[in-house]
Amino acid sequence: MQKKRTNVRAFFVALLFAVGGAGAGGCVRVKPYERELLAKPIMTFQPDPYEDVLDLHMLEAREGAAGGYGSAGGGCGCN
Amino acid sequence: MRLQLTRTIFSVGAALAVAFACARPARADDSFVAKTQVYVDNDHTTVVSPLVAITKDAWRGATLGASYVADVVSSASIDVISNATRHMDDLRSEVTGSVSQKWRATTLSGAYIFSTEHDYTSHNVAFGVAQDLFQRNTTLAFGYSLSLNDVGRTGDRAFHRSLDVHNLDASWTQVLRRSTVAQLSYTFQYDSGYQASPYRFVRIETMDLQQTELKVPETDPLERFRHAIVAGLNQHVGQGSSVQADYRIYFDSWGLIAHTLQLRYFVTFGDFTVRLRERFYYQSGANFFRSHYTLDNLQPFVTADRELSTFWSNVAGIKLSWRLPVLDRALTAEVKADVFYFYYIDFALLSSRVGADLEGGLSLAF
Repeated sequence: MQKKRTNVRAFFVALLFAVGGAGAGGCVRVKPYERELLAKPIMTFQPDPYEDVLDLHMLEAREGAAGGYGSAGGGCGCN
Repeated sequence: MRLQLTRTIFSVGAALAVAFACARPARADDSFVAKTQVYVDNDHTTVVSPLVAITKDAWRGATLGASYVADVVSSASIDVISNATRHMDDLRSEVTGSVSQKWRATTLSGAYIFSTEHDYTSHNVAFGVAQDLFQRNTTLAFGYSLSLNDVGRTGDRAFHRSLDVHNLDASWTQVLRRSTVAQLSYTFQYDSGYQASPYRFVRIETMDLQQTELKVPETDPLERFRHAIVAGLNQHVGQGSSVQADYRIYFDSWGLIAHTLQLRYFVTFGDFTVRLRERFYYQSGANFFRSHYTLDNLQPFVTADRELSTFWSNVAGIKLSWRLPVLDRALTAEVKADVFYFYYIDFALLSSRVGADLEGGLSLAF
């Protein structure tokens, strides 16, 4: 039952990504020569992925939640 | 621990020396990064984490990467001393090899991560694909990773338990305006196998007059289905500043629900970039977590893991990056200081934890 509910959730999330991505992309068109601000490093969601690896590993070892922000590497970090 | 730290510092120093010897004025996106993070808290735990990483353009559209990170742990936390151990030292080493290939608007990536410590070994493989659409106004990315873990126990060579972790990621990044980007991501994770701590024992209260102490090994369910959804917005403001906000909702089959709210403000002036950060986190406990277990109400799963209790935490900090006026400004130095506070609402052995997360590093584009 749990597995079935999980599959249904995953399907709807995938559908949201597919339909939303196509719809929103069709509406918004920022031309390549208009991307001056968007090209700056401060406009990326992960400006320093190596810092994120260290940070996420520390947080995921000390919190019950995980995921959504990228990989926290491997291993335990249980202390 | 001092010997481990000396060896690690020597390795990082040697890698830095090689990178500087090879340094040329900036040409491509090749880079070398060395940084060290120091975690310290009032629960008597210190973790020093040095990291070195190199990325190199290989053939057309391909980038190769390699990194090493260690955790040098010294702890006398409540978790350690409540199990009749006065102090523990440990070293975790992790190596990563990665490759990515870009064809027009499509990027394929793969990585292998190996992590080892004296009682834990982990093999991880990851694959990903990202597709730019609509003149790069939309990016859809999907990824899968598998982690195969072998959990051991010090002093008991016969103890081996396995834990397999399957992870599916999907993200949708959308340019909304010339100065606004939004991102929605979803992670599904399935954990199968041993998820308790082999060192942790749970105290069961007995009502007898002799006050007999009864302790049983921690027992968690063998399966866990985990979901995380993150919505983020990045807005450019003024001349060289941006504000990033994101919210994460997390829920799993153990009944744990968590909310994370993060705000980051970046400001650039000349060769300096400053980042201010505020992160608030709250979680409800797992449905089998109890602050006290009693013999007359014993259940199949018992845990003394504070990460499964109800608590909130707050992290606030500042990071400064400076492009140094040498090597055509290809060398950047950074320092970071985050302070954090955890407040445990129903964890009997500890009510709060305060500490800092400090980091310093150098990165070189060559």
